[in-house]
Formats: sequence, structure tokens, C-alpha cells
Amino acid sequence: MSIRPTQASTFALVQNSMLNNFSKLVDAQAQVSSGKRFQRASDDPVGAARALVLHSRADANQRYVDAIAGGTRELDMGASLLQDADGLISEARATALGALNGTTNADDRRVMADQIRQIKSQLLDLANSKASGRFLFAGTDQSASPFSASDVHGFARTGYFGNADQQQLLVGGDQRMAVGIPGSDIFAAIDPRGASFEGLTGAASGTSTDQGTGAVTLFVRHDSTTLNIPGGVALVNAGVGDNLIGNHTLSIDPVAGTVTLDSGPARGLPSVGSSSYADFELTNAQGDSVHLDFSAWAGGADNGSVVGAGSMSLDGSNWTAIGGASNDVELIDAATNTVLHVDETGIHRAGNELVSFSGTVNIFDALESIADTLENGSGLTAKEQEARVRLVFDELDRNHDNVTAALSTLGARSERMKSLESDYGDLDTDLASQISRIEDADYSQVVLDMMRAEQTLQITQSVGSKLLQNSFLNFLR
Amino acid sequence: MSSLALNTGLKALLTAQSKLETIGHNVSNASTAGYSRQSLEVGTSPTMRLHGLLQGTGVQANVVRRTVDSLLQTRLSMQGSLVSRIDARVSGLSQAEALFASGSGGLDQLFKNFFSSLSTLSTTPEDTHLRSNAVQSAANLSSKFNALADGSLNIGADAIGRIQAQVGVVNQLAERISRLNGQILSTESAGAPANDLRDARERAVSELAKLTDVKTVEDGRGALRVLVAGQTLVSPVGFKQLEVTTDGRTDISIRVEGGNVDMAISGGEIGGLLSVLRDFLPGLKSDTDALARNFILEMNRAHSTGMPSSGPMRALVGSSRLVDQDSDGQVTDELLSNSGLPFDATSGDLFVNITDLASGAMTKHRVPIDAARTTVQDFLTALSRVPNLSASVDGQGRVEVQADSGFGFDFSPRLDVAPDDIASFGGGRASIAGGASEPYALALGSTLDFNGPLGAFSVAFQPNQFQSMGQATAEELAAALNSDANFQSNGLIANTVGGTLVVQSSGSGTSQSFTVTGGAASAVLGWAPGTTVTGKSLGVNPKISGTYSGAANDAWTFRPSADGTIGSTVGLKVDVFDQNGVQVAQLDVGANYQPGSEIEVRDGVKVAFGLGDVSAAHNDLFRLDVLADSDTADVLPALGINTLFVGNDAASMEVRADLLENPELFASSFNGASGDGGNVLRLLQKSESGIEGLAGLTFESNLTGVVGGVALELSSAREAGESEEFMRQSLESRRDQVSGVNVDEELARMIEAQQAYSAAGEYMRVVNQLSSDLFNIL
Repeated sequence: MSIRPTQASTFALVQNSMLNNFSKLVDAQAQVSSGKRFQRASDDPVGAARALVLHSRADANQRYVDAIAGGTRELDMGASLLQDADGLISEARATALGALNGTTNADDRRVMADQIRQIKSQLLDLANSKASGRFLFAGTDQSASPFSASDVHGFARTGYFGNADQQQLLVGGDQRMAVGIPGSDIFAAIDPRGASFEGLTGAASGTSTDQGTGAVTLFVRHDSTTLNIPGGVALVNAGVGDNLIGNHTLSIDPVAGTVTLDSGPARGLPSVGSSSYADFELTNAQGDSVHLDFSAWAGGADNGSVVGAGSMSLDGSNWTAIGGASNDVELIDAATNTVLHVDETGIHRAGNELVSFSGTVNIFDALESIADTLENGSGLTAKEQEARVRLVFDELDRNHDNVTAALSTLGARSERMKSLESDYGDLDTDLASQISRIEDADYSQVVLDMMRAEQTLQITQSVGSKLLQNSFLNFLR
Repeated sequence: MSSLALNTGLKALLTAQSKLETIGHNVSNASTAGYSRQSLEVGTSPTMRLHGLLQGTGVQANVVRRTVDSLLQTRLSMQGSLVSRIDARVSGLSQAEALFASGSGGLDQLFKNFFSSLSTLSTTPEDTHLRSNAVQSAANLSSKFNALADGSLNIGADAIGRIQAQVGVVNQLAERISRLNGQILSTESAGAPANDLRDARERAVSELAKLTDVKTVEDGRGALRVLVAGQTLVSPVGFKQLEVTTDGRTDISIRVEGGNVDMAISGGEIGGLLSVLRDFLPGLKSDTDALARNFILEMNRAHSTGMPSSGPMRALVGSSRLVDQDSDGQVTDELLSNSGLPFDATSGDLFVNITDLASGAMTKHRVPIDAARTTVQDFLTALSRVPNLSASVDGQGRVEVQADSGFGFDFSPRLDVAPDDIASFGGGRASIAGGASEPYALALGSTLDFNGPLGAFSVAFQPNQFQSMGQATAEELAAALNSDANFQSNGLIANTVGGTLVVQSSGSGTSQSFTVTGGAASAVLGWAPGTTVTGKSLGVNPKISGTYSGAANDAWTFRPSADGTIGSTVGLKVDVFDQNGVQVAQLDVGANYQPGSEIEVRDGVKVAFGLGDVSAAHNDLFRLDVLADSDTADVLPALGINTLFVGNDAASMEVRADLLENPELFASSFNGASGDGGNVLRLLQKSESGIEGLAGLTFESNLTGVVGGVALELSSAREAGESEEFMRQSLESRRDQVSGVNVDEELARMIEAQQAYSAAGEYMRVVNQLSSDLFNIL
């Protein structure tokens, strides 16, 4: 059949092509004004779905970047505080070392004790620091300050009240990263290595394994004294006030006019009628002492022994008699879960023996103990003080090492965080460019499309109007 | 002759006039839709024999006929039906697309906001503002899900409204077609084709085809039978009406008046709307609901096994209501797995932690659930048997869990830091454990003989104390011993450790001692007669730390390798076995071990032993539950206990009401520490992990699938619409070529007719002239 156009079909044709071209123009116009290649997901379902996936990945990325930024802040804050702690501990160490060099007198040491206490209190403030309302060194237990004073059998100690957990952040898929280091790992790390004794009383570590934390005091009590010497020298007040324990030798040399306990030093005999004649305190080089009454002394040379009996205790209430023969006496303090094995064979005097469970004394207790010793409330000799300070020096160094280790851990984590952050930054750029490639309109292309659509529309309109004007009627006049 | 000639002239005049009239009719209807151009069929008048000649008598108009291709007409209405169907679908799909549009306020955005709020909270878990923010974004997400469910329903309601309106139009068209049938019949019975009536009927059928799928059959007399979806709507003698019944929201059924079969209309606008209503929307709803349901479940699984930053909980009421399935007036006799809960409880274990709030001491308890056996009452009883915990059902059928005063509970998979509660591993109590685990093969008359602080005594076991005496469980044996008066008065107690019987002194210290002197049961328990056990002043007191990183739940049993002292005895080891008895670790606690220092067991779990004596001969042991999932039975999400969301689909999803009121209840903590964000991380980790219920997809990629599915369907519908519309236009133009009016053509024919008229007039003048001339001659 031959083509038989009609006016109606011509009209419909013109109308359709105008509508078509106009909608192309509107489409291009929408792309230009929104900058997006598609306005609705159905314009490009595949692209839209891919964009949505990429967006969700970019969102997750952003979450990690935000978490990392928060974590890095906290890490850096912690690192800077630990840097300060490092300095403070070095200072305390230098001060304590200075106190030991022999040229200091008791007053100097008291001043140094004050300085060390001050450092301790600064360090305590630092360990209890908060960043954005959060204790930095409390683990994940934010209910109270991590470090505060506690009392152990009358001795002031500092306890840790946080927990041993580390705050974690999600920095990828199921990749978690710890940001905080609990204070218990920095200032109060426990790495038990057994008990060590300062050596004041002669008590030493027994053969069995011990258990305990921090520095405890072994109370060694003098109970009674027995004097085995002829010649009329007697004990004062039946030995109350003596401190020697175990077997000691006593020799009186009237020719030299001296009296000697054990290996000395030799002391001059009190003169008759002097106040010390009836109560003469004889001490040896180790500070063991016995009180002698010369009132009934016959004046001859005498050699004999003086024997002290005593007991020891961890808690000051349950006492174990010192037999003097065992090298492994077990002492238990159930309240603090402490078990101490004592070699009692060397005990020669009473006193408060400082026992440090190596590897368990926290920095604050170590500093407090040094300050306490330097202050010398219990009247120790310079040598005894030195022994005490040296005993906790190891603990000071160990804690110092822990602070430095924590610093390097924080540093490494911070580095890792930064590298992750930069990785995510790269990934983000990559994702953004992928999203842009899918979503964003190519302006030069779209503008060209728009111009083309506009021109085509105009041509359609002009051709259409001509087409519709044509009619036989025009010639029928 | 003249009258004949005049007559011939007159016929020519009349025919030309008729032609002009037909042309006039065509021209005036040139732009009438559905008009088929008409033409006058002209023939010669019958010839006459005059004077021996066969003489023509001129022209005559026979009939006015439409030019129509009825096959094309049918195809055109079918095509119109197709286009309308697609248009209706596109309009429904577009609404759905707008509803699910991504970007600001979109579901994807709200998912993003929710997870970002969790991520922010994880940096400072104790911050109350961040916690409120997290709860609020959860609420926003729920509202969006509600809006989506509502929006989908509205699309459905809209489609139903349109269907109802269009069915009304169908009924009008049926009536019109039937009327036209009658008119055509009566017109055509007179012999002339009813051109314009037929055009009108075709127009009506086309209109009808735009609404439904239509089949037409014309009978021999010209009456049209119209079938819609296989059922007669218009018959040659009458028509029927369609009737609609609907709930107004989700479904509609269309029947022929008086019929009882739902019409499966697939074509036209109604067919398109029905396909949106019946195929697309239910699919969309089920996709959205699956997303919501799985999201709720996964979030609730993690949330219910966490803790608020304030630590263990004192009392909780579930948000789901138990349903009385057998209508006997009580809900507690139903199976827990079939009690009308929004999520199913399955077979598995629920672990409950009870914390003494004053001392912080925690104990972990296992509540097993068997989907085929455990009733609600069994479950409540088992929970209530956990010390210091009680569970009941309130008046509204919700499960209530409450801890005794001074105690708290939680369901976290965290480790029990002091697992040896009964001190059966080198503890202070005099203690002896069974050499084997249950079942214990007791016989009638079996006894267990002891020498306790008050002297020798014997415990005789009775058959009624056991379900099966030959298969006695450790629990039954312990209960039997604990009920014995001598056993009690001698200060002894029986406990169990993971199916092993342990007999102990109730006090601790070196003064505590008893001897197993014999009895048939002692052989079953592997105890040599004369075995004496003594308490100690300090227990080994194992301490657990770390976080279990294994993928599956297990229970580890720790046993010493020999008798000895932790930290002293050379070569002393602690062997660790899993629940199948396979050794998983061996820990060196001999002379090189410093009591109190931590040893890694495995999978992130560490243990530290205190100084003390342990005994392999007395079967010292303790058990540690290591959990990846503390609610493998999904009981907590099912009962709605400590959940984040309530509901189980998009429409019912909501944040738990008391949580919304008090965001402090948000379970951010894994171990109960105030600044712990472990549970926030567990929630957060779900954002990028594959979800089992969503075919291993993440929430966001599943959402992409839903949104992308709508978009893809819409875009393909649009494309199909465009190509079908093009087809329709091309058919339309072909119809126009056949039946349309070309005005130019008509004008040309008008000139022809005009000239024919003039010629006939001239002819009549000549005939008239001849007649006059003849008269003049006469």
C-alpha cells in the first residue's frame, strides 16, 4: 500500500517530535543545574546501585577516620603525659642517688625526701589525668580516679582502682585497635620475681616460693633476753628494751676498760656511779643492742653469751616464734594474700624489716618508700637507709622502664593510627573519584547535549510549522 | 426520451451531491479520534432496452462505506492495553522509588547516621550525650522503617483507589458498547452499514482495552461480544457489571456481577495497578521487612548480651508478649520455641552472670534450652534456680527477670575472672572430686562412707533420689549427699563442676579435714578407701583475664598434672581440656613460675595462679566457660529482654520504650566497666559483616539491593513503556494511513464531484433545450 499521509498523522508526528526533543532539552537542563548525571535511581539503576555501595563504603571509611582522629588525640595526649612522667621519675632517681652519696646529712635528706614526695604527688596527678572527661590511665573503669591512697597494716600505700582493660576503637571491618594503656601496666605493672629483704634484722628469703604484692613489712619483735655470763653483770628490766635476737657473744675486758658485743666495736666501760652504770646500752656494728646493769659486777674479766628470743609477723597480730634454725619458715597474711618464706637463721635483731616483692611495687609506693627512708622516722643509720633505698631502687628503675615502654607503645600506635588514617585518606579520594565518575555530570558533554537538543527542537518547530501550513486549500482561490 | 434523460441527469446530480456530502462528512471529521474515512460507492443504474438498444440509465449511489482494517484496529487496541498497563506500573514504581530515594533523609543516610553515632560513642563510651545520640539515631532509623512500611501501604491504597475508579469506567463502557450493539443491529438490519456507530463502538472497545485486557468476537449480524480476562462482559443481548471488594489497603478482588471467580486481569491500567499491588508491593514489603527483621535481630543479639555502663542490671521486663497458643488460659505451658514470640527461640544455651554488687564477685550459670522440650515454665524455673535470680511472667505475658537485693545480673559473654567459686582447685577447703564425670553407675544399696570431724558415717543412696540409679548425674548425687543429716552435721557439702561431683568441707583452713573410708560408690567415683583430704590456709584461687577471641563456645577444664605446689614443684603443669576432653593447652606452673603472673592459655584468655598446693590425686579441677555467644538459643531477642529494638518488621520496629526514656540503659559495655565500649564495638562490627539472614550480605548492601531492585524494575518498565508507545504510535499512524482523512485528497475529490455536478447540470440543460426546441417546432 502506498504511503497515504494525513493531516492528523502529520500533526501527531510534529507534535511527538517536538515533545521528544523538548524532553531531551529538559533532561540536559536538569543535569546541568544539579551537576548529577542522573536525578533518580531508575535513570541509571546500575550506576545508582554502584554509587550507593561506594557511598556506604565511603561512610564506613569516614567513621574509621573519625574514630582514628579521636584515638590519635587520646594517644598523643597520653604520650605527652608519659613524657612528663619520664622526666619526673628521672628527677626522683637523681635526687635519691644524691642522697646516697655520703656527703649529705640528715637535714639534707629530709629536704630530699620532701622533693621526692612532691614528685610523687605530681606523678599521681599525672596518672589521674583526664582528657575530654575521661581518665587516661584507668583502663575502661571510669567510675573513680585510677590511683588513690590505700592503707596496708598502717602503712600508706597507693592502690590502682581502674581495670586492666584497654579502650578499643573499630578502625576497619572487624579490626579493633587499643588506644589507652591501663595505668596498671604503666605505673603499677606486676612482674613478680620473689621477695627481697632490706637486711635490717638479718632475716632472709626462705627456700620456697613467695607470694605478695608491693612492699610489706616483716615485723620482728624482741621478746626476751638471756644473759649467760658470770661475774655479776645483769640485764636491765629483765631484757625489755633490748633488740638483739639469737646468740651473741659478750666480752668484758677490765684491763682495757672495754665491753664488746660480738665483734665490736669495743665500748668503754661506764664509770662507777654514773647514770649508765646501772643501765648501759651496748650495741654492735649491726645495731643489735642489749642493756646491761654493772651494779653487781665483780670487776673481773668475763666472757659469755647473750641470747635474744623473738617472734616475727606479717600482719602484726599473728606471731611466729623465731627458732633460729629453719631456713624456710612460712608466714601467711590471709588478708592481703601474702605468703612469705623466711630464712630465720641469720636474724640478729628486732625491727621492721622492709620486704619488697620484686616486680610488684608500684612507682608511687617506691617513691614513698624512698622518701620515708630518707626522712628516717625510725632512726636508721645511714647504712641502713642506703640498704632500704637500694632495695626499692630496682623497683623505681623497673617502673621507669615500664613508663618508657608504654611511651614507645603509644608512639607506635600513634604511628599506626596515622598510617591507617593516611591509607583511609587515599581510599577516600579513590572512592570519591569513583563516585564522581558515576554520579557527576560531565559538564562539557552535558552542555553540548543541551545545545544540540535546543537546536534540534528549533529545527523541528520550524519544519513542523511549514509542514502544517501546506494545504491544497492555499491554491483553491 | 426526455424523461429518461432527465432522470439520468437527476441521478448524476444526486450522486454528485451525495459524494459532496460524504466528502463534507470526512472533512469535518478529519480530526475526530477514531473516525474512519467514508466513501460513497457508486455504480451504474440498470440498463434498459429501448428501441432495441440496451441503454444505460446513468449513475446511482450504492452505499457509504468506511475504509477500515479491522485486524489493525484489533492490534491497536491490544497495543493500547499494553501501554496503559506499563504506564500504571511505572506510576506505582515511581512512587516506591521516591519513597526509597537515597540521600538526605533516606534509609541509607539513617543507617549511616546510626553507625556513625555508635562510632562516636565508642570513643567516649561513658558520655551521656553521645549515648542519647546513639539511642536517638536508632529511633530515627526505626521511624524511617515505619515510614517505608506506611508508604508502601499508601502506594497500595492509592492503586486500589484508582482500580475502583477505573472499574466504574469499565462498567460505563460495557453499557455503552451494549447500547451501540443494539443500535448497530437495528441500523444494519435495514441493510446499510452503520459506519459511525461502528466507529463509536470501536472507540469504546479501545477505551476499554486501555483499562483491562479485552477480547472481542463479532457475530454474523454485527453484534460484538466483549470478553474481559476470559469472562463475558458484553454479550450480543446485554452486558454485565464488574464488582469490587477490597480492604482498602492491601488487596482487591474484581468479579463479574453475580460471579464467584476473581478476575485475573493482566492488561490495561487495571492490570498494571493489580501487578503493582499483587507482585511488586508484596515483594518490596518482604524485602524491607527482611532487612528490618534481620537488623533488629542482629542488633538485639549484640545489645541483649551487653550491659549498661552502670554495670549489671537489677530487674528487666521483656518487651515481647507470650501467646497462649492452646487457649487453655495460661502461657507458661507452651514450648518456648513456639509461644508466639516475634523471633524464634531455638535449641542452645543462655548464660547468665550473677554479680554480688558489694564484692563484685561474679558467677556464670548456664541455662540450656531444647526447642523440642523446654516450655516457658521450664525456662522460668531454670532461670529462677540460678542463685539470687528470679524469673516470672507478668500479667501481660511478658517475662520478668529480677535479681535479689544486693545482686545484679547480665548476659554478657565476658569471662568469669574468678571461676573457681567452690575452691575445688587447690582451694582452702578440704576437697575431693570424682575421678570421672557423670553418669555414675550406682547400684541398689550403694553407699559412700566418710570419716568426718564428728566420726565415721555412711551415706546410703536410694533409688528415688535418681532418675536412673545406674546413670546417676553429678547433680542428683550432690543433692542426695547434701540431704543426708550426717553429711550435713559433719560440715560437708557436695558440689558439681561441669558434671563432676566434688565433696568438700564447708569451711576452709588447715583444720578442715575428712576421709573417704569406702562404700561401693567410692569405687564408682574413683576414690581409694582411706583417702584423707585437708584444707589449706591459702587457696590457689586462679584468676582469669583477657577476652576470649575464639569463634565457638567451649568450656575448659583445668587439672593439675601431679600433686605439688604452684611455683615450687619442679615440672608441675596444669592441663587444660575442652568440653570434648581434648587437651587444648598445658601450662607450666612449676619451679619457674612466679605465683600471680599471667600465663596465656589460648584465644586471648590468660590465667594466673596463686601460691598453693594442688592435687591430681584428689582430682582438683575448675571449669571456665569461654563464650563467643552467650545466647545461642536467641532467647533474649525472642523475649525482648535487654534489647535495643522491639518489633520484628519494618512496620512494628521501635526502640525499646524504657531505653528511649532513659538512654543510660543503652548496653555500651561488654564487661560492666563504666568506660568500656566493647559492646558498642560489637554493635558496630555488624555494620560491615555479612548477615546470615540476608544471604550473607551486609545491611547496607542489602539495602542497595532493595533500592536498586526498585530502580531497575522501574527503569526497565520505563524502557518497555517507551518502546511499546513507539509501537503504538506506529500502529496508530498505519491506521491513520488507512482510515484517516487526507483533506487535500478530499478537496481534490470535492472538485471532481463539483465538476460532475456541473456536468450533470449542463447535461440537463442540454436535454431541456432539446425538449424546448422540440416543443417549439411542434
